[in-house]
Amino acid sequence: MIWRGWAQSRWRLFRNALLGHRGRRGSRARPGTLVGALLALSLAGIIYAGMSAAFSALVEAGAGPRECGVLLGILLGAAAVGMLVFDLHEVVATVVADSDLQLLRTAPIAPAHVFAIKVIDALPRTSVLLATIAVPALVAYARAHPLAPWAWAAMGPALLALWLIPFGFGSALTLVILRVVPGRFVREAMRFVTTFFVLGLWLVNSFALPRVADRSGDIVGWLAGAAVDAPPAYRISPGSWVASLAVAGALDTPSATLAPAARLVVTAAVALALAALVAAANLDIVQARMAGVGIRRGATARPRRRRMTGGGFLGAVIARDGRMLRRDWAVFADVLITTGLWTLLPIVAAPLHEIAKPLLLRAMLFSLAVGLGYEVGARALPFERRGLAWARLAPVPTLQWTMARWLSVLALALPMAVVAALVSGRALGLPVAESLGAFGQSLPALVMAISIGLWTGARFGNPDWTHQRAMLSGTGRLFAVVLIFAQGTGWIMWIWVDAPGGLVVPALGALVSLLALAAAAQTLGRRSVT
Amino acid sequence: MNGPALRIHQLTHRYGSFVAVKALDLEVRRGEILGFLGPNGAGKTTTLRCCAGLLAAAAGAIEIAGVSLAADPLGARARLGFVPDRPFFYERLSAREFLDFIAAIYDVSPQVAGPRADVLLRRLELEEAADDLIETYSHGMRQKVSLAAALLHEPPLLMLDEPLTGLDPIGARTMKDVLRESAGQGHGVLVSTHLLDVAERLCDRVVILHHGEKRAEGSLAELRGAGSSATLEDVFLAMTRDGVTPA
Repeated sequence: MIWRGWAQSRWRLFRNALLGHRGRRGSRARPGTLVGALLALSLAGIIYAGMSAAFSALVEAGAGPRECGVLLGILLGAAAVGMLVFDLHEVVATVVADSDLQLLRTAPIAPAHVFAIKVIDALPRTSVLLATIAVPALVAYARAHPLAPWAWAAMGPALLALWLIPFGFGSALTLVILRVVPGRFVREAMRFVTTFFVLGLWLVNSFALPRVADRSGDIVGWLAGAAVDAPPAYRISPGSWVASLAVAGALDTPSATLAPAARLVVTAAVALALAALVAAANLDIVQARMAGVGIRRGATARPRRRRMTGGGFLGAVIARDGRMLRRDWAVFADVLITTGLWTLLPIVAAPLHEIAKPLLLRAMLFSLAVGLGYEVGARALPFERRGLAWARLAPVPTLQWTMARWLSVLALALPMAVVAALVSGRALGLPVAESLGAFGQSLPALVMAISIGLWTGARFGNPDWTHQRAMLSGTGRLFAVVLIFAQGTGWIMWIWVDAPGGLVVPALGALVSLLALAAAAQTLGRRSVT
Repeated sequence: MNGPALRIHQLTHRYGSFVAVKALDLEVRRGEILGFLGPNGAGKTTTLRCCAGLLAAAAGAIEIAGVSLAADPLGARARLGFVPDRPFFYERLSAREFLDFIAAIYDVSPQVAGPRADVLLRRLELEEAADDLIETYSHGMRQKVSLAAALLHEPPLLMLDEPLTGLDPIGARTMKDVLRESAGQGHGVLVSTHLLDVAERLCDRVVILHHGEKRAEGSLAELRGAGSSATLEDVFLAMTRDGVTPA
């Protein structure tokens, strides 16, 4: 009965989100949900096309199901780690702080059932990477090496296990952290977990990826070697186990599925059981701590003193943003850490010996510029939360409001970019003038990225965000990824061919910035306030 | 400056096909407190949000202290103080910092805003907590900060959406006193409320809204009718019973 009611309510929520609800107050469809679904489908299509091409090329080069299976395993492993990085907070938030949790917990439903309901609730909210990377990659693999029918039947549970493993272990670890950190830091701690995983993943990636790149001369040979004697990190990854099932399906050898299937099932069961056990022991306390975070008596802003600075509207906006950012250390730390990571991206993604150092520095600064567009620009407006309504209430034109936010974001981003330029230049052994020149060249990219980011935040910002990496709606985050990819690719290609066109490209960047700011102001002026 | 603090003419607002407010006419005079009454879903909050410029009206005209919201939205907004049912705060600012910011966006000079904020914080019994972050405040304290923010630029019109809901007796009394004082200074005050006894004692006139239409308007004596001893609750129940003809 419980499950029937639960399924019915979830179906209604899904239908209303996608198609709108024809109630007394008319249809309230959410086009964003539909756009998000279409965007996810498009990304899945792109991954499928790319992986199909990659598998076809490998097959032509003589790779068999086992060799292609290694590549599939790497991708599935990346999807699992990506879920941990991008969606763990969503799972934890669903389990400990979802809006209907109190309702469920006061209803005559066993705690284990409540936990199971919330875990299942988390699945659709956190399965974007499963749908956009894992499934298309698997289908592309099956196109190159058709699977036996029994293998297809095994893939559903295998992908579910791939989802359960990171989230089971991740939730258990997070709940323990939320239990032990000091009460006033619980909310920030939950949010900081994702930043921590981003940093961890990046460090691992920084060591692993160049090693793969070093062997890229004979990719089939490397894959064949890895299929026989894979590195331990690959062998113990759930992605490799799912890939082994696919390889067995392609070779139609059911007996070969036993070992990977057993590993998957046991690991998923252990992850789920561990999460359930930890939740049973800690959920009440963690929830109470989460509920109490708003009551931080004595969390004084600073000793009383006159703060009227007389800097006018712009000064007030900058002062307000500075104070709020300084007091939200989870967001501030996330911005600082990701600034470092965006700067390092070109080093990780490109073999060092093939790029001249000045070009590498430029690539690093352009990567940072585009990254800051999301990290600072897109998050600026939703960071205001409900205070954003003042943009509609105050006797200030929304364009002026948007410009003030743009300047306030620049006031934060510019010093970060300058420091990144000087530190990176010094690390690469380049003169200061070279570093500052590279910074100057990346300035149009920074300005444009922040302008586009502000529009993204105005359009897709969620003032009720619970996590600093999810200040945009799901659709907004997908959109932001596309925009980051497009900008990053464009600018890197531009500097790769020695920045042709003189000032034309920066001028175009300025024009796009102006259009984006105007669009952001217009969106802000029309944004509904509830 | 002699016209009403708020004039609404034939205001209509729709959510899709649902008409939330139908051709509403309403006037808040300077120096009066107008109670805006109606059952849940009557259209009170929608009307207030249209007046604040948070919702775009489908039809009709709104004038705040003689300034048309459609023709001069910034001028109209500058003449309005709005206390929403869920305040719009920056939770990680203190009340004093928040008021500093509000003063800046309403172009009140620091020399004027500083002393004015101090007076408001003292009057609303927030002085001791003024340097604590708003996120630590109770519901009542939040309502008071929201009221202080609305009064800071001394607007000719003050609109409040359910300001007394959830307040303790002391907080409610303070809030009512401040509203009375504001009306006494010549400002128009529009208070949306469910609390009929509060409206009965606080408001000079009331408007009863039902299904987006005005059902009654006037002082309590006018609504009761000559010689009647009916309470506002009796009048309200009679007016909001389906089948009653709009005023």
